[in-house]
Amino acid sequence: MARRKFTYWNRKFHIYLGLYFLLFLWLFAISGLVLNNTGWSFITSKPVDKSVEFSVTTPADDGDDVARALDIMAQVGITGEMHSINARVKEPYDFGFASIRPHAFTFVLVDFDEGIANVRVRKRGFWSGLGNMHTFASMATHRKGMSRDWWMTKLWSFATDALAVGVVVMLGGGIYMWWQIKPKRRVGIVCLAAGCVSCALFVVGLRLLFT
Amino acid sequence: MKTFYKLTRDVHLWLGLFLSPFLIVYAVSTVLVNHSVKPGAAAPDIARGPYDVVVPDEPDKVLLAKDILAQLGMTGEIGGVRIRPAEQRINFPVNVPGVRRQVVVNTETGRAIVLTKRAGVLSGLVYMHFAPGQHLVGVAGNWLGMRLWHWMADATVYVVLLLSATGVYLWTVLKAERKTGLIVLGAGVACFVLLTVGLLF
Repeated sequence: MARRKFTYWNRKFHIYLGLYFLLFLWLFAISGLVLNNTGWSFITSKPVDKSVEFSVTTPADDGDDVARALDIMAQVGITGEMHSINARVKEPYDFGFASIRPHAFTFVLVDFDEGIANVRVRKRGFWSGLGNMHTFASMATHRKGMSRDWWMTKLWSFATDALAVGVVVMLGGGIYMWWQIKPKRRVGIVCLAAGCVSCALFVVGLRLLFT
Repeated sequence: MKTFYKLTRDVHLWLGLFLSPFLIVYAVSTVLVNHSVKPGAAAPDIARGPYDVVVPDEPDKVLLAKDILAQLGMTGEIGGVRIRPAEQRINFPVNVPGVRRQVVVNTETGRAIVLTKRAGVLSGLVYMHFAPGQHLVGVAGNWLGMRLWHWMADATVYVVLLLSATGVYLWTVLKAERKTGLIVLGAGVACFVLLTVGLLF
């Protein structure tokens, strides 16, 4: 009885998970293809820069560069993930940082003496933005000591984890459903074994054969 | 119609079973990358050598590194080659999933040492997740092993798209699941749109 119930719900769960994650799966699949084939001509695009100057007040210097950058971001109305802090900048600027969103990099240079922030927004086009959606959560922590400081990045990172777990659960449920269909077992074993062997060739085989 | 349904169901099943180990590779490495876990980073670098090598007069960096590798009797995917004339040094990584090696050549003495880090399976998964990736255009895929992985990575995407398309078709045939399925699909679309809008606008 319990097994029948599990089979019933497992089937439903397999369908619902697949439907819920459909767009997420397509996004990560297509953007993965784009990232792996940056040589494709339609993907490459020239960056378009747009610069604007804003008046800013000097934030309190308590030694926390991230807090200073976030203060400047709030003053000039930028939202996004902190990408890098550049405390050593060319004259006349005193402080600089870069903030990211999937479709745009924003570089900010601040001259505290004049109270001016130069904000340069760089956009690269649709395919680049799509690729950045794929890497966005990990871009925020690509350097040691960095953490996600934008709530949207945290949410996107959670969605990425959820998709990974969802895919594994879907696979497990699918394998269970297949095993219940006795006439399909033999061909299924061949397919699964072929997948396991070819995957193992990359995961461990290359290492064993060539090192 | 019934034949098409059966065929679609079989295609969904067979392809799904074949692809499942690859999807597990991507799922596990996604979580590792997402949480900045660097498996095997603490593994020691074991130095071997020095070996005598002849540095060829080759302007192409990858061909230069391949020549040196052949002299060392090694193989693997060559990463970014750095030529530092001021330091009389050439160094480049040679990777195989799970093993990271760095070849350092002293161009003055013609001697090379190889630093090997056996970073393990999980590190290999992360490496494969990033391969070939968006960087090192024109350099990536210089070894047959990783070229095959590149094809496999692309094929994984195509098959995932086919699996999801066949999955949606199979769901539409099940009348009893249509209503709930539509609600779940709608919820997924709504979450996706909200997140995307939040990230972009």
